[in-house]
Amino acid sequence: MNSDTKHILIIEDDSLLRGVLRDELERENFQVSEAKDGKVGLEMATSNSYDLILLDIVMPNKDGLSVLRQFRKHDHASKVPVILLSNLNDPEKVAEAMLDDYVHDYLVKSDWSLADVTKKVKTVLGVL
Amino acid sequence: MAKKTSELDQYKAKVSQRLEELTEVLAHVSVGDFSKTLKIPKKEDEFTDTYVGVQLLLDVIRDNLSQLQQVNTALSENVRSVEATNRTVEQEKIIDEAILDSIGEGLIVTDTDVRVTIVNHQATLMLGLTAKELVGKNLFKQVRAFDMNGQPVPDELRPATLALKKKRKVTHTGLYFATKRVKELSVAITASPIIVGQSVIGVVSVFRDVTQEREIDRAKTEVVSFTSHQLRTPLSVINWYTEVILGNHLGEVTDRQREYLEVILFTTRRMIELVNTFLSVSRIQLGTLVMDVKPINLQEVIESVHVELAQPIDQKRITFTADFTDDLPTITGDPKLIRVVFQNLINNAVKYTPNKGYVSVATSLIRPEDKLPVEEGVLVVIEDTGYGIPKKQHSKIFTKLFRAENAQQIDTEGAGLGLYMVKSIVNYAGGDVWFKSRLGKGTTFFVALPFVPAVRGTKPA
Repeated sequence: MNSDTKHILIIEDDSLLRGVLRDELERENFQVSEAKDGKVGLEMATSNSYDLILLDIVMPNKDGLSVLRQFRKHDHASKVPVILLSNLNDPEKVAEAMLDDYVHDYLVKSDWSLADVTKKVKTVLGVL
Repeated sequence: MAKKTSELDQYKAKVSQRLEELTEVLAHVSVGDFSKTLKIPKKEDEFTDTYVGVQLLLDVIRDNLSQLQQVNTALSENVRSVEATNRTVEQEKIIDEAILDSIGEGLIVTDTDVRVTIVNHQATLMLGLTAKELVGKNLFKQVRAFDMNGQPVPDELRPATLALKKKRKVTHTGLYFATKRVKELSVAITASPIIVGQSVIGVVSVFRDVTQEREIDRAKTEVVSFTSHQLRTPLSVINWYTEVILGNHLGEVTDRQREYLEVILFTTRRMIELVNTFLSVSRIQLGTLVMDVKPINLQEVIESVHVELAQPIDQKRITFTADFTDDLPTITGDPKLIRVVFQNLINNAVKYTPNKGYVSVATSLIRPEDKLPVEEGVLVVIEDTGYGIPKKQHSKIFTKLFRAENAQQIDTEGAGLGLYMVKSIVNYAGGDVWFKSRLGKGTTFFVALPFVPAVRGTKPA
């Protein structure tokens, strides 16, 4: 992996969804790391540097909004671009998260195709 | 000397006799016996005048007494018959009151000034007010009403007022009552005008406590909501995995495999749409639908729906025309929801019109004098030369999961939610939707949208 390879972190509790997203993004030559819940996601976001974080909003134990708030307090995660993964189960939380300056957009998992997701990722990373 | 004594004695005897006769007759009369009359002596003497006078008097008294007795008898009879009638009326009144009080719903009768004239037991129980506190008082001041959004309902819009004005029955299923003792009572109410001859003399309002019904409704809606949420993630999984295979990332997919996989993708997308629909509908019913209000260019929305339907329109060789008024003002509303409305209506028009038919969409400005359900806004008319809707099914067209018989035959897969969705959204935004249709001739749908959405609290009827 050269330094040009963008490193993406996926924080999503559904392993199947996480898996297919990871495969797709790796096919697009991104480096992908996974976190299976908010707690692990927070640890990873604060200890490593990522170019983009795909963050699921509705997760058991620690939801995406609180993970976002917490890793924003850490220097190297304070400005990392974030795309929210949602199924619009909690529109209020999505709306609140969108107020963050570096949250670029939210995508509705059931409404977006994988191709759309990839396009969005590439746009945010400036590689489109 | 003897002669003088005998004259005096004779006179004394005559006076005694006359007085005895008088006394006797008077004695009889005093006990009501007028059978004895005074015998007027043939030979006129000092008593004749008195006798005639007394007898005349007695005759008059006797006649008067007799009349009085007749009147008395007649009066007694009257009194007896009135008493009998009163008892019947009393009994009927008791029965009527018993009927009123055994009605399980609250009943209030008001006059043309909205003053309470009759209130039944159930109403007093539900409202926490005594009959005394209600009868004779202005109903609206004793019982306040709020809509589903917690907004007070103005007097002019209360069912009793509307029934008086419109001279017809008015039903409202989404109200809350509040009185000085009852903070909040969920009610469904029907107000009917009381018409005597040609005039309305009052209103009968019947209402029932629907607290439990609403709770059940709410619970049902939450179950739907919860289930819909839970379904979305697995559906996304199916979608994305299928997409990966179709992208040939797991090896080259044969044509046949592609066909089948595309069916999976298509069907999953339909399920997602269904889930989204259920969710929106349940949110509307719960009143929790958050409308993302923005200016909407109706022309753009309709044209984009047209583009989406290009394929079936082409395939069926349908002539599609769209006629937009010049300077069509923008309305504000939730673009996604408004789009769903036109997507449904125009899709239906295309779907249920045979080959070489016509579908037209036209917009126009609504002004107050048009007397439409919306005072000012935009009217969109979607007309087709399609199969039409059977008259018997007109009243059920907007109900959930209803599909007209002929529609069911043409498209076996429709869920019957589209029009329910359309009506829910349009009503929620403060507008209205209605249609006319003739079997075999075609259908025309009318959508009236206000310039600014006025969110209504009542559930669509």
